[in-house]
Amino acid sequence: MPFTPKNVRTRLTLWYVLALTFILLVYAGISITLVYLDLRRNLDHALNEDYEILENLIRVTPDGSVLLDEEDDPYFHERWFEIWSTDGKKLYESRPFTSKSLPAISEKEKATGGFSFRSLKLENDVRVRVMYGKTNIEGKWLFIRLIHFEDRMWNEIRAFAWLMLFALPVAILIAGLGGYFLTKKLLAPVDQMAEKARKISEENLQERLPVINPSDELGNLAKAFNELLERIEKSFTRLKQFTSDAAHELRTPLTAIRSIGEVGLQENKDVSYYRNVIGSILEENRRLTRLVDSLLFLSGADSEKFKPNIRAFQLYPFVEQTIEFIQPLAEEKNQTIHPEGQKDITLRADPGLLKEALLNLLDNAIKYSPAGTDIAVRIARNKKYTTITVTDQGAGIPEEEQEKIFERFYRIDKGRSREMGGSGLGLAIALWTVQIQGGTISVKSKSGFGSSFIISFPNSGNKNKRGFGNTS
Amino acid sequence: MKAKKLFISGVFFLLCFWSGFGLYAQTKAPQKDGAIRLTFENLKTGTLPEGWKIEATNQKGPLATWQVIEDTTAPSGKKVLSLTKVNHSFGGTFNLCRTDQIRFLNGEIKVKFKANSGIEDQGGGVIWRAKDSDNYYISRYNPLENNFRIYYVKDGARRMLASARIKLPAHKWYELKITVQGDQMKGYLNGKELLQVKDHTFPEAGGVGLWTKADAETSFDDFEVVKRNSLR
Repeated sequence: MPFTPKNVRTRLTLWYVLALTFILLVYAGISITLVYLDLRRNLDHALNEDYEILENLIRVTPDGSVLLDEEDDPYFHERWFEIWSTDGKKLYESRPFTSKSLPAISEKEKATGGFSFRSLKLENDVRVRVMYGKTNIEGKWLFIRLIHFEDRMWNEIRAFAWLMLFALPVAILIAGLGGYFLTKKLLAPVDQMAEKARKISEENLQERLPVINPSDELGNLAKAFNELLERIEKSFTRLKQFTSDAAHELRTPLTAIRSIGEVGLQENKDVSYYRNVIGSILEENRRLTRLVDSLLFLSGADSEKFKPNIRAFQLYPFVEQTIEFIQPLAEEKNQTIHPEGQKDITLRADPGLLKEALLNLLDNAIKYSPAGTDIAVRIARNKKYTTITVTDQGAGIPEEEQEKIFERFYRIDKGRSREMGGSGLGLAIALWTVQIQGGTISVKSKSGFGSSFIISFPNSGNKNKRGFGNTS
Repeated sequence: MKAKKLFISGVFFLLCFWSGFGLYAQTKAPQKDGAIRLTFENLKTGTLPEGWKIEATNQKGPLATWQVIEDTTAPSGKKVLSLTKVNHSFGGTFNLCRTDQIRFLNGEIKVKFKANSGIEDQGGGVIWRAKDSDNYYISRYNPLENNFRIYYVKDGARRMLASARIKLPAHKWYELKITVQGDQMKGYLNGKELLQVKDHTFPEAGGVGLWTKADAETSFDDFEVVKRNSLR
C-alpha cells in the first residue's frame, strides 16, 4: 500500500519538496552539461593554439621526412601529437608523460577534410580530446593529430557535480522546512475554522466561522460555510416553528374530541344526543384528517424531490370544473362563483397541482366572504403572463399582513380561522404548488374591500411550446 | 547652329551611354563563361564598386577605409580596390568590403591580392556565403604567419577549418582561389591546391566580399566569381 500522509500540510510539503528536487536535478543536469560544453570548448581552443605553434615547427625535408624545430618551442616536450603521411605512415610522434598510444587512424578520419575534434577513451579509462585533420606544409600533405588529456576537465566536472550533490540535499532540506512552515502558516485559518465548526451545535447555530481574509480562497471557503450555516439555521428555525405549530394545531381537534367524548359519557341521554356527539367527533376527526393530509402534502413538498407533471390543457374548462367541485361549499353560504375572461387559453402546467392551489384560494374566499356574495375567477393573458385571479368580497387583508399570509400556520385572526375550519396551511400549499410549476402568487387587498389572489405563469418559458402564447 | 547643337547633344549622349555601360561592365560584367569579374578599371579613385559596402566583424571604433586607388603594380590595368586606412586599433576586428548583390552558393571565387602593410596582421582574402557581417566563410593568406587557411565566422567567432603553411613574401601580388561544391571546399594559392575541407555550417547562398584582419592593409584586383550549378 503506498505511503499517503493523512495530514494535508505534510502532503503539500512533500509535493513541494518533490517538485523542488526535480527542478534542482534538472537545473544541476543543465548546469553540468553547460560546464562540460564550456570546458570542452576551452580544450578545443587550447588544441587549436597548439596547432598554430606546431604548424610553424614542422620542417619537411627533400626526402619527404619530417623534422621539428624543438628549440623554437619551450613547451615542445609537453605536447602530445602525431604526424602521419597521407598514405598512413607515422612520420613523427611525441608522447610526453604517457605510455598511452592512440588507435591507428581510421578511414573516416583520413577522409576528413580540414580539422575536426573528437573525444576518445583509451585503456585504463584515460580520456583524451583529439584534434585531427589534413594539412599542407610547404607543399606536402600531412595528417596531424594533437592530443590533450581530458582528466583535468573531468576533474572539474566531477568537482562541480559533487558540489551540486552536496548542495542539493541542503537546498531541499531548507526548502522543505521553509515549505512546511509556509504551509502551516497558510493552513492555520483551516484549523481555526475546524475548531470553530466543532463548537457549533443546534444551541449556537447563530455563530459563524472566522473569515480572516475575505478575498483569498480560504476566506471564500469560510464565507461559503457561513452561508451554509445561515441556511441551516433558517431551516432549523422553520422546522422548529413548524413542529411547534403542527403540534398545537393537532392538539386542538384532539382536545375537542376528548372533551366531546367525556361530556357524552357523563350523562345518560337518548340516541339522538349520542348521534350528535358522534357527529361532532366525526367533524373534529375530519378536521384532523384534513390537517394531517395538509401536513403530509407539505412534508412531501419539503423533500424537494417532487417533479410536477406539466402538460398543456385548456384553462377555462379546467377552471369551470374546479369551481364545480367546490360549488357545494359556496352554496352552503349562498355564494356564487363564476368564471370570467378568455376562453381559448391553453396553459402548460400541472393540472393536479393547479387545482390544489385554486381550490385553496376558493376555499379561503368562501370562508372569509360574507354569505350571498359573489366570487369571481378571472382568466387573462397578456404578452408576458397568463393569470388566474380569484376575487372575493370579504373583509380584506391589512397591508402589513399581506406578506405573512403565505407562511405556514399564519392566521390573521387565529380564533376565527380555527372556528371556520382553517388550518393555516391553505395559502402555504397554494404558494408551493404554483411555485413548483414556475409560477407566482400575489395578493391585492385593502381592508373592507375584498381581496384578489393572482396566480401568474410566465409565457416566456413556454413560448415555443405547443398551445402556449398570446391568444388572438 | 542647330546642327552644332545636335552634334554636341549626340556626343554628350554617347559619352553618357559609354560611361554608364562601362560602369556596369566593370562592376558586374558577366563574362562569356558566366563569370562576374571586377577589375575596378572604370571606377573613379576614392569610390567603391556599386552595391558594395564597408563593414566589420567585432568592430570597435570606426570602420576601415576601402577605396579604389591607382596602383602601378596592379596585375591588370592601373586600378585596384584597397584597404587604405584601418582607422581603428582593435586586433580582433575583421575588416570587410562586401556585396549581397552577388549571391554565391557553389562555384569558384578568385582574387589577386597584395599585402601592403600591417604590424599585427597582414594579408587578406575572400569571403563567401555571407549572411551578414558576422556569419560567413573566409579564406585568407597571412604573410606574417606564413599560412593559408579556411575559417568560418559564426556570430562573430572564428573557427579554423583547414590550414596550410606556405611562405610567400609580402608586397607582391598572389592569386587566391577557392572552389565550393556543397560542403566541399578547396583553397588554391597561385594555382596550387593547398586546402581541403568539408563543412556545412552555412549551406545556403550568400554574399561575397574581401577581408583583412586587424591592421592589415591589402590591395585586391581581378575579383572574379564563377557560379556553378550545385548538381554538377
